[in-house]
Amino acid sequence: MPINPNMKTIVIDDMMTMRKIITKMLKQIGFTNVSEADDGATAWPMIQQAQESGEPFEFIVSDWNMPKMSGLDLLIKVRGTEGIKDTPFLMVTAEAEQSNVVKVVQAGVSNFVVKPFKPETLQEKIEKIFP
Amino acid sequence: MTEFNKRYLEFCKPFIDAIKEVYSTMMGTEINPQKPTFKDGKKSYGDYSSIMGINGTYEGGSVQKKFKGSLVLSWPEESYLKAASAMLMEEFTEFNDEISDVGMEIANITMGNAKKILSEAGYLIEMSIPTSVHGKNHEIKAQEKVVTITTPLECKFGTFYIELSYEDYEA
Repeated sequence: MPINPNMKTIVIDDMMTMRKIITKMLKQIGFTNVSEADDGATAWPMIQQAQESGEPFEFIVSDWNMPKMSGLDLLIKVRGTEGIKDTPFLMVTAEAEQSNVVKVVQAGVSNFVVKPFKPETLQEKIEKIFP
Repeated sequence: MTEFNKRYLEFCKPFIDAIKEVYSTMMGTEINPQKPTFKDGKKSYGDYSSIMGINGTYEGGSVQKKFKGSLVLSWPEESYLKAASAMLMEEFTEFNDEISDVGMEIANITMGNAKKILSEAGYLIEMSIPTSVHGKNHEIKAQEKVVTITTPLECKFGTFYIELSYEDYEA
């Protein structure tokens, strides 16, 4: 599944700064259809509505540490929902401990990127999801 | 040096290494840490501060402690604007909502990276959510009645400050 530039993508982070940085990096890579949400709790209804409308998100990029719903909880919801459970999911995290990596891998994350990162690193992580 | 001071120093170093990594990777800028000093009072050296509470447990050999403290990053306005501009890849000449959480994100990444290194040395930190204070001569309540070490950090955007409070007690 190579990268489709029109792929419907959502970037989720409670920090506007990181949403902006990731969205800019995605646009540099070639993504054109990028939405944003400021928490897992805000993103989840957007993901559900997109599915119901017949135009589901095709790629989810989410921060882990958010106040209302964490990226891990969002990942678990996505993986547990028919119709969207196979959506590619990239977790962005500032916490790189082995125990955390195990948690997201067990929850079915497609790949993860540890902050801080350069645009090339983000691109490599995405290319591994869409080889 | 007392055992407490050793733990304090061991605790502080990963935060300095982590902020250096954040600036290097996301802003292409090297940081030169200056001489650390004990802070007197709770007044900020900067115009913008991001703050993260620290809580956790330490296990080293037969020693078991609980610890608490805070990470504070404080920027004078000019160094904040320059860092925000570099990080967001566009120029900002005044403080506004668009860059209001840049400092919190820098603190968040710094904490996450330091947390990993510290976990390998026996310090297990529970991750918290950052907050911020903005304005001339603001005070950091988290530093009240706690030993705090300030380290000035020099880079091409100007000087800013990393401050760490740490205290431990019997588990």
